[in-house]
Amino acid sequence: MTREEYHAQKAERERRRQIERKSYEASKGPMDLPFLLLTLLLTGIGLVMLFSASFPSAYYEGDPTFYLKRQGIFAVLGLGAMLWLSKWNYQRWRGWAKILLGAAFFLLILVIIPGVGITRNNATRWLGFGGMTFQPSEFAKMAVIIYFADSISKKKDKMRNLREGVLPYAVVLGLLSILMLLEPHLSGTIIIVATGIILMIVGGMHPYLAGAGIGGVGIVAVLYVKLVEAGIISYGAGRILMWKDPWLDPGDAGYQMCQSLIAIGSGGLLGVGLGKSRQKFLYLPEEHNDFIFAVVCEELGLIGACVIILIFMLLILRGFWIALHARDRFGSLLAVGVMTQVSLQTFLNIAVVTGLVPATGISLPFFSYGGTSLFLLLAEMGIVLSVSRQIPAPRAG
Amino acid sequence: MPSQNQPNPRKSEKIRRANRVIQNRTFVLMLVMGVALFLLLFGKLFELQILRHEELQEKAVDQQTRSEVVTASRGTIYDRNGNVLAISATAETVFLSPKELNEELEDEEDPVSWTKDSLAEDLAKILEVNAESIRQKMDRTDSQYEVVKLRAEEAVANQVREYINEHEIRGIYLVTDAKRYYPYSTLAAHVIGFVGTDNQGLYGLEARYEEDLEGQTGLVVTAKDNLGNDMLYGYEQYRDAQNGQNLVLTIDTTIQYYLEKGIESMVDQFDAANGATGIVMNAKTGAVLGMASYPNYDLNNFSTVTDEKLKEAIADGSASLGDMQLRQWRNKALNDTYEPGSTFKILTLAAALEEGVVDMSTTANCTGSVTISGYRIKCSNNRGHGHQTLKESVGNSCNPAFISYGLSVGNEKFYDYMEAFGLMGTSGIDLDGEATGIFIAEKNFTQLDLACYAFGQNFNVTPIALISAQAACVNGGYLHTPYVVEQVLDDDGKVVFQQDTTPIRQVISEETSAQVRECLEYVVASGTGKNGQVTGYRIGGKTGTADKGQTGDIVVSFLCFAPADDPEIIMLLTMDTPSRTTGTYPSGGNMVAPTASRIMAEILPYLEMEPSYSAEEMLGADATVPNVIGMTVADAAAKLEEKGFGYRTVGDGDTVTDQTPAGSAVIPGRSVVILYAGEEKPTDPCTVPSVVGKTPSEANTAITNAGLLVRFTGTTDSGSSSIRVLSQSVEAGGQVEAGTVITLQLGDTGVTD
Repeated sequence: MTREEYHAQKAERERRRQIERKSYEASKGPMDLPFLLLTLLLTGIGLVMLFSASFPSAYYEGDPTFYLKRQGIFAVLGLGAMLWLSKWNYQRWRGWAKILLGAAFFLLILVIIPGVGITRNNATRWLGFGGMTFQPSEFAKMAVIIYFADSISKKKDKMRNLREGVLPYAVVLGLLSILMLLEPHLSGTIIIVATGIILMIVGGMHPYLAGAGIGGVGIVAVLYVKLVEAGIISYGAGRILMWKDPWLDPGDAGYQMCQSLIAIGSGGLLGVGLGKSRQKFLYLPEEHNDFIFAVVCEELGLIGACVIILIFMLLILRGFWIALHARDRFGSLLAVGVMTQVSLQTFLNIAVVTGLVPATGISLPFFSYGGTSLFLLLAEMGIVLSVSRQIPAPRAG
Repeated sequence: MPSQNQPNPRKSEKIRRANRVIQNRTFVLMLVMGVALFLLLFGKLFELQILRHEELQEKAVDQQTRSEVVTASRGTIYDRNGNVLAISATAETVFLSPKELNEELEDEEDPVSWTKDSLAEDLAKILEVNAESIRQKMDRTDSQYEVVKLRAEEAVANQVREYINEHEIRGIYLVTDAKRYYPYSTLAAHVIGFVGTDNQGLYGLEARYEEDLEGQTGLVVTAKDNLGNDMLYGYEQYRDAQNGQNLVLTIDTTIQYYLEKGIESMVDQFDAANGATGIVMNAKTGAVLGMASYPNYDLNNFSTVTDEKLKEAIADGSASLGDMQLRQWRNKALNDTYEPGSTFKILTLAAALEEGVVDMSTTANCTGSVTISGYRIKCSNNRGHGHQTLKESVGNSCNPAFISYGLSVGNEKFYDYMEAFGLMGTSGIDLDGEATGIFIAEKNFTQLDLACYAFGQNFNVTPIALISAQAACVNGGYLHTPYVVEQVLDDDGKVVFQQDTTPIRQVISEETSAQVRECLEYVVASGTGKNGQVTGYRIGGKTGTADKGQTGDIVVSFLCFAPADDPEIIMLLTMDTPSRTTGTYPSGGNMVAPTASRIMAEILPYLEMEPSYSAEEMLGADATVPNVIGMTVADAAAKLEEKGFGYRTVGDGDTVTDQTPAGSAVIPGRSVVILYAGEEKPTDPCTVPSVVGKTPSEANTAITNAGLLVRFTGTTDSGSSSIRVLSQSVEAGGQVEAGTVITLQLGDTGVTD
């Protein structure tokens, strides 16, 4: 080894140490307070509304606070995970990206092996251990975000290239979709695929390809609805027709939709008052789950519902603000992925509940009952917070 | 944007471009994901929660609340003395669920102690219904509601309950309901009316005062969850059941009873094909004390046809059950019109007197007929009544005389009077279905029409409208709206409505009215209305006989009022199509007036109007027999003579050992009391002889010879040679105790109206 080589190596080591030190120092920066507060606020409101919405069902089952207690435990665990992850240097996720994706595939295969997964309502989506259940698809969402963020951030302008920037991701999303549709879990598939595609587009996909992709999805969706209406396609026809007019069959197929609309509509401007929903008394199915927002609308009225949507908007805008200001592309894409997922879920959930789009089972972040879901959501918030910690301080002057 | 401080400028350019793309696209995405999507949601929420709020809230309330009805008790109907005419009581409807019974039978784990047959039979026995029909209902096994008995009485319902408990039957149920009872059954049926199966008034006052009687059903609205349980903190709303209001009628059950009894016997006696009707009214207020229509029916079984004639018609297939039901439900006093005939002359007389075209000194000549506009109109007396005073012309019911009175009033005036007497519209009585009279339009009202109208022919009126007008003629001229409801009381007995008795108008003057009364009293005292006399009372009246078209059928009627000088009570009886073959000359005076007399003879004392007897009547008036047993025959004779009785002694003893009639019996004065002096009083009953159609003296002899006593009622005008016994209180051949008083009604059989 020559002296130059030695010096070069030494300089290189020194440079890397500096980078690592900077990164380490950056990870010691303050986390984004508005984002943290909005998260805590939504978690709090979510718990209150869950308690209110689940009260009758829980009461009839014997313990009025049953759902609150379970959700509360996960909220506490989730908040702990969030704070811990917010301090964790998110760069380390890069090393975990492929492992997490592999684990996601493994769990998704595991769940569809007969006898392993737990089946509810004709869908095999859960894995159980020790009395707890957990959805691999929830985990897959997070894995996709981290893997895509890592992979896309490394490709830079190769993303414009079809072979490099589209095909590998399309294969991953395609395989995941197949596995999840085997459960089946359409809504989860939609979220994961949509989040993945949006990350690809944001990550630098060629504008023509992006435009073609979005246009293609739009055309297929419209075509599907038209064909169903024309009676050519029968798969999912019930959903489409009930979405168009749930009162066609208010006692059966349209029941849930009608009950949801009744709950929302009877709330009016000011609502019937916190805790005073009547629809939750065994009228509205899934009242503490996918349709919790209907109870929110009934109890808090248009004003309350809008305030809650506004808080969601603020959280999402703040998350994107963090993405815009992130220290690097990886951080930026992580935040974009997480916030896109939260935004899509929130929008789709409320859109389903209000009858804006056909019904699918999408839960409302922070509100719907579901321990692992809340835990993972809060963990993702922790990741966004860790990205926020490394935002460089604005240059003085 | 942070850069990674890369030394290679080419690479750094690529990185910068990639970063810029990410940044720009993230910014666009932020606007889409953070703003645009949610604006859609705001729009949708606004639509649902503001624009469609009411529609959806209604749906919410519909499904979240269960309302339970609390039935109100229907109001009671009282007569004017507080007697209950209609009342609601709790009853229970028994129904069975064939489906549940079947499930019970098929449940092998829990064997039952009954079979369908035994159950049907036992239930049939308790409920008094057909076992076969219950058995059939049990076979409708997909049904859960088959009524076995509607509104069973509570006692019966309790038996069913016991039976159910004893045999542990599920599938037989009782639900509380209300049942309407009419304690007097047929009495005043047409006035009271009845309720249908849903307890809603269908006829009569029950229908007319439905809103007052029905009350307000209470409602309890409770928020319920989807299983029908109360919500934990659900709201409740109450609307108290408000019991129906009670009616106090002007009807007097006693008067109504006398009226119905009289009409029924009259219809039977003369075999009236189309029934009869009668109204008893307070002449000064229009309050209806009694209103009867025949054929009648039992309010408790209103769909059962009870009248023999109607039953025959159904049996021989000439009429349907439905038609005959409608017929028996008709209140002929106001649902039907008729041609009044001579009772209408009262109005002609009143109009003529009021207009001054006649006065009490007017005379008229009757030749038996008169020709008007080329038509010859006959008088009831074909030979003519000759010269008559005004009073006599009324007493004779002379058509030509009245035609002349009518003509002298003139078409226009006469028509005005009919309007003023309220005949052109309805009387306004508070009962449903009142018909309107049928008259020629005023512009077509010819001289000939006037001539016919003057004696009550060629037009139709309802009895109620006519009696109201006639009351106005005799009560001082005041036309009143007739009414049957005096007061409406609320549940606590507070008066919420009091009938107003202010007259509608005064049609004629007090003086004219007095003259009309004088004429009408003469009709009963000495004219065609003789048979309407009531001993001890001054009665005014007018008979009527009208042809029903060209068929030869007639409607006979009698209007009377008492006291004649200051009328309190006015009564109009009409009988439709009496048989012409009963041996009685068909006229109101012969057929209706005697009945009117009988009814008045009962009503007037009941109303505590004191009879005032003439000296001659006084001798024949009732007196109390003193007890003379134990006295010497001489003392006893003196005592009896002092009281105005005659006596006859049987036996030779000195002391009275027995007497007939016994002491304190009330018998007509001048009767003979039999004193037994030592001889045993015979205990054999006496047989009542037949005296109907005999002269008063023949009848007196026959009755007295039979060991019985006589009391005459009705016409007392002994001057007429055609006075005969019209009826006797105990039928011929009846066995009664010696000394029993047999009441004989006298009447003039030669009366022509």
